Amino acid sequence: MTHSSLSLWVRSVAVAAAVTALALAILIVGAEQLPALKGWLKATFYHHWLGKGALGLMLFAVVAVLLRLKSSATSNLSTYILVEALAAAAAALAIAGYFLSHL
Amino acid sequence: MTTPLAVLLVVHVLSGVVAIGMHNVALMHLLKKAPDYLFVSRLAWSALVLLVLSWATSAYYYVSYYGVAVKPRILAGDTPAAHIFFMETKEHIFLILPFLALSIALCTVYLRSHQDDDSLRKSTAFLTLVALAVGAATAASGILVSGAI
Repeated sequence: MTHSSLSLWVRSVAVAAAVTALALAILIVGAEQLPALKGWLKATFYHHWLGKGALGLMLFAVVAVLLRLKSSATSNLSTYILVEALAAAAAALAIAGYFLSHL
Repeated sequence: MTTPLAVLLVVHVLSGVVAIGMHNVALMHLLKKAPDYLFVSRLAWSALVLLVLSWATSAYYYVSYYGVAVKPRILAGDTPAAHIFFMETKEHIFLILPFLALSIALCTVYLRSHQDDDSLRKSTAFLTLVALAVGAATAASGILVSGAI
Protein backbone atom coordinates (compact mmCIF):
# COMPACT_ATOMS: atom_id res chain seq x y z
CA MET A 1 0.00 0.00 0.00
CA THR A 2 1.48 3.37 -1.01
CA HIS A 3 1.62 6.26 1.43
CA SER A 4 -1.01 8.26 -0.48
CA SER A 5 -3.25 5.19 -0.65
CA LEU A 6 -2.84 4.69 3.09
CA SER A 7 -3.65 8.32 3.84
CA LEU A 8 -6.83 7.98 1.76
CA TRP A 9 -7.84 4.96 3.83
CA VAL A 10 -7.07 6.81 7.07
CA ARG A 11 -9.31 9.69 5.96
CA SER A 12 -12.08 7.46 4.58
CA VAL A 13 -12.24 5.26 7.67
CA ALA A 14 -12.21 8.29 9.99
CA VAL A 15 -15.16 9.91 8.18
CA ALA A 16 -17.01 6.59 7.93
CA ALA A 17 -16.51 5.94 11.66
CA ALA A 18 -17.78 9.43 12.54
CA VAL A 19 -20.84 9.07 10.28
CA THR A 20 -21.54 5.57 11.61
CA ALA A 21 -21.24 6.63 15.27
CA LEU A 22 -23.70 9.50 14.79
CA ALA A 23 -26.07 7.38 12.67
CA LEU A 24 -26.02 4.64 15.31
CA ALA A 25 -26.90 7.17 18.02
CA ILE A 26 -29.86 8.37 15.93
CA LEU A 27 -30.93 4.79 15.16
CA ILE A 28 -30.65 3.70 18.80
CA VAL A 29 -32.65 6.63 20.17
CA GLY A 30 -35.07 6.39 17.25
CA ALA A 31 -35.71 2.69 17.90
CA GLU A 32 -36.51 3.46 21.54
CA GLN A 33 -38.88 6.26 20.58
CA LEU A 34 -40.54 4.47 17.66
CA PRO A 35 -41.72 0.94 18.53
CA ALA A 36 -42.37 0.28 14.83
CA LEU A 37 -38.70 0.86 14.04
CA LYS A 38 -37.58 -1.44 16.84
CA GLY A 39 -40.10 -4.01 15.65
CA TRP A 40 -38.78 -3.78 12.10
CA LEU A 41 -35.20 -4.27 13.33
CA LYS A 42 -36.27 -7.34 15.30
CA ALA A 43 -38.33 -8.78 12.44
CA THR A 44 -35.58 -8.22 9.89
CA PHE A 45 -32.46 -9.09 11.88
CA TYR A 46 -33.88 -11.48 14.55
CA HIS A 47 -32.91 -9.03 17.35
CA HIS A 48 -32.91 -5.22 17.41
CA TRP A 49 -29.29 -5.14 18.65
CA LEU A 50 -28.14 -7.34 15.77
CA GLY A 51 -29.98 -5.03 13.39
CA LYS A 52 -28.23 -1.96 14.73
CA GLY A 53 -24.86 -3.68 14.45
CA ALA A 54 -25.52 -4.95 10.93
CA LEU A 55 -26.78 -1.57 9.69
CA GLY A 56 -23.80 0.13 11.32
CA LEU A 57 -21.38 -2.24 9.60
CA MET A 58 -23.06 -1.76 6.23
CA LEU A 59 -23.10 2.03 6.52
CA PHE A 60 -19.46 2.07 7.61
CA ALA A 61 -18.36 -0.13 4.71
CA VAL A 62 -20.30 1.83 2.10
CA VAL A 63 -19.11 5.26 3.30
CA ALA A 64 -15.49 4.13 3.70
CA VAL A 65 -15.30 2.53 0.24
CA LEU A 66 -17.11 5.38 -1.53
CA LEU A 67 -14.83 7.97 0.05
CA ARG A 68 -11.77 5.87 -0.76
CA LEU A 69 -12.81 5.68 -4.43
CA LYS A 70 -13.19 9.46 -4.49
CA SER A 71 -9.42 9.81 -4.55
CA SER A 72 -8.96 13.48 -3.87
CA ALA A 73 -5.82 14.76 -2.22
CA THR A 74 -5.70 14.33 1.54
CA SER A 75 -4.32 17.00 3.76
CA ASN A 76 -4.57 17.61 7.45
CA LEU A 77 -5.42 14.05 8.47
CA SER A 78 -5.29 15.12 12.11
CA THR A 79 -8.43 17.23 11.64
CA TYR A 80 -10.35 14.22 10.32
CA ILE A 81 -9.25 12.16 13.34
CA LEU A 82 -10.15 14.96 15.75
CA VAL A 83 -13.63 15.29 14.21
CA GLU A 84 -14.06 11.51 14.39
CA ALA A 85 -13.13 11.50 18.09
CA LEU A 86 -15.57 14.33 18.84
CA ALA A 87 -18.36 12.64 16.85
CA ALA A 88 -17.81 9.34 18.69
CA ALA A 89 -17.78 11.09 22.07
CA ALA A 90 -20.97 12.99 21.17
CA ALA A 91 -22.68 9.78 20.02
CA ALA A 92 -21.72 7.90 23.20
CA LEU A 93 -22.87 10.79 25.41
CA ALA A 94 -26.15 11.08 23.48
CA ILE A 95 -26.85 7.36 23.94
CA ALA A 96 -25.94 7.43 27.65
CA GLY A 97 -27.89 10.66 28.15
CA TYR A 98 -30.99 9.22 26.51
CA PHE A 99 -31.05 6.13 28.74
CA LEU A 100 -30.16 8.21 31.82
CA SER A 101 -33.17 10.44 31.13
CA HIS A 102 -35.40 7.34 31.08
CA LEU A 103 -34.15 5.98 34.39
CA MET B 1 -26.25 -21.34 31.74
CA THR B 2 -24.75 -23.94 29.42
CA THR B 3 -20.99 -24.47 29.26
CA PRO B 4 -20.65 -23.03 25.71
CA LEU B 5 -22.50 -19.87 26.80
CA ALA B 6 -20.27 -19.57 29.88
CA VAL B 7 -17.18 -19.94 27.68
CA LEU B 8 -18.50 -17.27 25.29
CA LEU B 9 -19.17 -14.91 28.21
CA VAL B 10 -15.66 -15.44 29.59
CA VAL B 11 -14.11 -14.86 26.14
CA HIS B 12 -16.26 -11.72 25.73
CA VAL B 13 -15.13 -10.25 29.05
CA LEU B 14 -11.45 -11.23 28.79
CA SER B 15 -11.00 -10.10 25.19
CA GLY B 16 -12.78 -6.82 25.89
CA VAL B 17 -10.75 -6.06 29.02
CA VAL B 18 -7.44 -6.94 27.34
CA ALA B 19 -8.36 -4.74 24.36
CA ILE B 20 -9.07 -1.84 26.72
CA GLY B 21 -5.70 -2.44 28.37
CA MET B 22 -3.99 -2.40 24.97
CA HIS B 23 -5.64 0.90 24.10
CA ASN B 24 -4.43 2.24 27.45
CA VAL B 25 -0.83 1.21 26.72
CA ALA B 26 -1.12 2.59 23.17
CA LEU B 27 -2.34 5.90 24.58
CA MET B 28 0.58 6.10 27.03
CA HIS B 29 3.01 5.60 24.12
CA LEU B 30 1.20 8.07 21.85
CA LEU B 31 1.61 10.73 24.53
CA LYS B 32 5.40 10.43 24.15
CA LYS B 33 7.24 12.75 21.78
CA ALA B 34 8.74 9.84 19.81
CA PRO B 35 6.65 6.68 20.27
CA ASP B 36 7.71 3.27 19.00
CA TYR B 37 5.07 3.21 16.26
CA LEU B 38 5.76 -0.41 15.32
CA PHE B 39 4.90 -1.46 18.89
CA VAL B 40 1.91 0.89 19.05
CA SER B 41 0.48 -0.33 15.74
CA ARG B 42 0.82 -3.95 16.83
CA LEU B 43 -1.08 -3.07 20.00
CA ALA B 44 -3.75 -1.21 18.02
CA TRP B 45 -4.35 -4.06 15.55
CA SER B 46 -4.44 -6.59 18.40
CA ALA B 47 -7.00 -4.43 20.23
CA LEU B 48 -9.15 -4.35 17.07
CA VAL B 49 -9.07 -8.15 16.72
CA LEU B 50 -9.95 -8.59 20.41
CA LEU B 51 -12.82 -6.08 20.23
CA VAL B 52 -14.30 -7.86 17.20
CA LEU B 53 -13.97 -11.15 19.10
CA SER B 54 -15.60 -9.58 22.16
CA TRP B 55 -18.40 -8.19 19.96
CA ALA B 56 -19.06 -11.56 18.29
CA THR B 57 -19.07 -13.60 21.51
CA SER B 58 -21.27 -11.08 23.33
CA ALA B 59 -23.76 -11.11 20.46
CA TYR B 60 -24.56 -14.79 20.89
CA TYR B 61 -24.78 -14.53 24.69
CA TYR B 62 -26.85 -11.36 24.61
CA VAL B 63 -29.32 -12.47 21.96
CA SER B 64 -29.81 -16.05 23.13
CA TYR B 65 -29.54 -15.79 26.92
CA TYR B 66 -29.48 -12.31 28.49
CA GLY B 67 -32.96 -11.15 27.47
CA VAL B 68 -34.61 -14.40 28.54
CA ALA B 69 -32.71 -15.41 31.67
CA VAL B 70 -30.92 -12.35 33.09
CA LYS B 71 -32.88 -9.21 32.19
CA PRO B 72 -36.14 -10.28 33.93
CA ARG B 73 -34.23 -11.04 37.15
CA ILE B 74 -32.52 -7.65 37.12
CA LEU B 75 -35.76 -5.79 36.44
CA ALA B 76 -37.48 -7.67 39.28
CA GLY B 77 -34.58 -7.11 41.70
CA ASP B 78 -33.41 -4.21 43.85
CA THR B 79 -31.45 -2.43 41.12
CA PRO B 80 -33.44 -2.35 37.86
CA ALA B 81 -31.25 0.61 36.82
CA ALA B 82 -28.56 -1.97 36.14
CA HIS B 83 -30.52 -2.92 33.03
CA ILE B 84 -32.49 0.26 32.28
CA PHE B 85 -29.42 2.48 32.21
CA PHE B 86 -26.19 0.51 32.46
CA MET B 87 -26.97 -2.47 30.21
CA GLU B 88 -28.87 -0.40 27.65
CA THR B 89 -25.99 2.09 27.47
CA LYS B 90 -23.28 -0.58 27.48
CA GLU B 91 -24.78 -2.70 24.72
CA HIS B 92 -25.18 0.33 22.48
CA ILE B 93 -22.01 2.41 22.99
CA PHE B 94 -20.04 -0.80 22.49
CA LEU B 95 -21.25 -0.86 18.86
CA ILE B 96 -19.07 2.19 18.13
CA LEU B 97 -15.82 0.77 19.51
CA PRO B 98 -14.60 -1.51 16.65
CA PHE B 99 -14.86 1.36 14.16
CA LEU B 100 -12.73 3.58 16.40
CA ALA B 101 -10.27 0.74 16.92
CA LEU B 102 -9.85 0.27 13.15
CA SER B 103 -9.25 3.97 12.70
CA ILE B 104 -6.65 4.02 15.50
CA ALA B 105 -4.87 1.02 13.95
CA LEU B 106 -4.73 2.66 10.51
CA CYS B 107 -3.41 5.91 12.01
CA THR B 108 -0.60 4.10 13.80
CA VAL B 109 0.43 2.35 10.56
CA TYR B 110 0.46 5.72 8.78
CA LEU B 111 2.51 7.25 11.61
CA ARG B 112 5.17 4.53 11.21
CA SER B 113 6.20 6.19 7.96
CA HIS B 114 5.29 9.77 8.98
CA GLN B 115 6.90 10.02 12.39
CA ASP B 116 7.23 13.79 12.09
CA ASP B 117 3.44 14.30 11.90
CA ASP B 118 3.06 15.47 15.47
CA SER B 119 -0.43 16.81 14.87
CA LEU B 120 -1.70 13.38 13.79
CA ARG B 121 0.03 11.77 16.77
CA LYS B 122 -1.89 14.07 19.13
CA SER B 123 -5.22 13.53 17.33
CA THR B 124 -4.70 9.77 17.39
CA ALA B 125 -3.93 9.98 21.11
CA PHE B 126 -7.22 11.87 21.63
CA LEU B 127 -9.14 9.30 19.57
CA THR B 128 -7.53 6.52 21.62
CA LEU B 129 -8.56 8.34 24.80
CA VAL B 130 -12.18 8.45 23.58
CA ALA B 131 -12.06 4.73 22.69
CA LEU B 132 -10.52 4.00 26.09
CA ALA B 133 -13.26 5.97 27.86
CA VAL B 134 -16.03 4.19 25.91
CA GLY B 135 -14.37 0.84 26.59
CA ALA B 136 -13.89 1.54 30.31
CA ALA B 137 -17.52 2.72 30.63
CA THR B 138 -18.65 -0.46 28.90
CA ALA B 139 -16.59 -2.68 31.20
CA ALA B 140 -17.68 -0.82 34.34
CA SER B 141 -21.32 -1.16 33.29
CA GLY B 142 -20.79 -4.88 32.73
CA ILE B 143 -19.48 -5.24 36.29
CA LEU B 144 -22.53 -3.40 37.67
CA VAL B 145 -24.91 -5.53 35.59
CA SER B 146 -23.24 -8.73 36.86
CA GLY B 147 -23.51 -7.48 40.42
CA ALA B 148 -27.23 -6.79 40.06
CA ILE B 149 -28.21 -10.42 39.45
